[in-house]
Amino acid sequence: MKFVGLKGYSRYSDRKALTLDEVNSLENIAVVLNRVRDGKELVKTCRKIRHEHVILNELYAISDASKFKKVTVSVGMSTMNNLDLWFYEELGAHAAVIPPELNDEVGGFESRSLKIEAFGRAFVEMFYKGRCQLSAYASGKSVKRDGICSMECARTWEVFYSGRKIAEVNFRPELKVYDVEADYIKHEIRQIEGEGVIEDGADNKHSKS
Amino acid sequence: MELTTNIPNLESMSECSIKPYDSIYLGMPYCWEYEGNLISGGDDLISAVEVLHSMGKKAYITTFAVPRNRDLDRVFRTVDVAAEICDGIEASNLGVIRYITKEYPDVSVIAGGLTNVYTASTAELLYSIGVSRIVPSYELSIEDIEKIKETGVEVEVVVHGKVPVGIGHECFLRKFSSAVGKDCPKICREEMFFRSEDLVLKPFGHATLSGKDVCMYEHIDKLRFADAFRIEAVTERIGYRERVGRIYRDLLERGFSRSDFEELRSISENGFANGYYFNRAGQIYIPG
Repeated sequence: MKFVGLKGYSRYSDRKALTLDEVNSLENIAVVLNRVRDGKELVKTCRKIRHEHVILNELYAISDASKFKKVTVSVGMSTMNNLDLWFYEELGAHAAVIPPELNDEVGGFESRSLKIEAFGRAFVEMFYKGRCQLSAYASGKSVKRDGICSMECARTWEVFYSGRKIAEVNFRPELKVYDVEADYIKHEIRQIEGEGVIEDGADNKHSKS
Repeated sequence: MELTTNIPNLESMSECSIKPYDSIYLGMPYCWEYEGNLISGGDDLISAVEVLHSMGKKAYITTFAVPRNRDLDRVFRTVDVAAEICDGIEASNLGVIRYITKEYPDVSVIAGGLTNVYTASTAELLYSIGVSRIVPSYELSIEDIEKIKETGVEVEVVVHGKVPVGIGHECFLRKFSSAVGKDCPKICREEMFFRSEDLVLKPFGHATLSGKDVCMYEHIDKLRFADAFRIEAVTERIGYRERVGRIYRDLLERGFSRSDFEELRSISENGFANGYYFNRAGQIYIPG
């Protein structure tokens, strides 16, 4: 299964996303609407998508769209534990994506019907996916709402402790490959242009990636 | 208007520091290992609630913000105790929120700022399952927060203090244990900052906070539609909570004071920001 970003709704910018007409002309895909927008608007858009399977990042939309679509809960919702899984199951979701940092715990996830999707290849970032507001804090561009990451994490940071500089550090996303077993294995490639380069951060003057 | 703050442990809980507030969130949500963390077990939590109630204050209890399966037993223990003794439980994990609303339907549940409530539609859903109050995502503008308030749910907003800009699976302070010569839990007794040109961040447990203090002192009237104002002080040094609380209490009761505003400036080690309230980069400060 290929996940295809819908223009205007996809978390990793619109550069590689497709329009509704383009999406509807393809076969055997799931459509990604993982930018956070009003849930009712997302549900309306889901109705225009002819494909059965969508990926969503907003709670109301997950709940309502599950009545007529197969919904995967985006990794941006930060599914952390079984209680999360049971809640998404209660809302009618089909699957939930687990953050790559939790890959060694996938065996401990238990659900009755909800499928688990884990990353076989992913960028591990400074924060859990979906839990980073650094871009909006620094530049006003929100990953979650605008789908744009200004990659501030990749800066070189001076570390001060008790007023004294003790080190320099950066938190550049690290591409990792995992040997993990789950119902679905996801390979994160959409935001990669060259190996190890996230497209939105490639032009960032602070990024060395 | 309810004025709230947060206190991580009994040691930080002096009478003076509590006095300006109506309600206190007890516990450190970013790290289990924080010394004396009121949500890490023990009798301190019960003592803290008793102290607050004896002072006529409301006691809310927070929970660990990013619980994995291995953390759930500890979360359940905190919630079990909290449900018996406190005036509300704050959670930032959707699964934990749902657990509390199902198991303890009579308990007030507060969805914390790290729950990622961005939309009125999400707020509506959470309200329908029993969440009574929401701290909207820190990334929202005043207009977006007003839409959440229109759903009927109570809204609490941060008016002062450092807000989280992210939360992850590791504590960044621990990376520097050898450089500092201190390990967990002593390492967070003193402050660490990450600096890069115009940006300052404060790592603390699993969270990283804005280095600047969000300050809405000059703009407080724009937020009066909210039900509660929070002073974020859970990672702050001694004296901060008391001084900032006193200044905002006076603002609510007596109005703007230039000298109080200047005092806030002197307390803030990295300057002010407005957060995201004005649809700008979170680190920018727009004077009133």
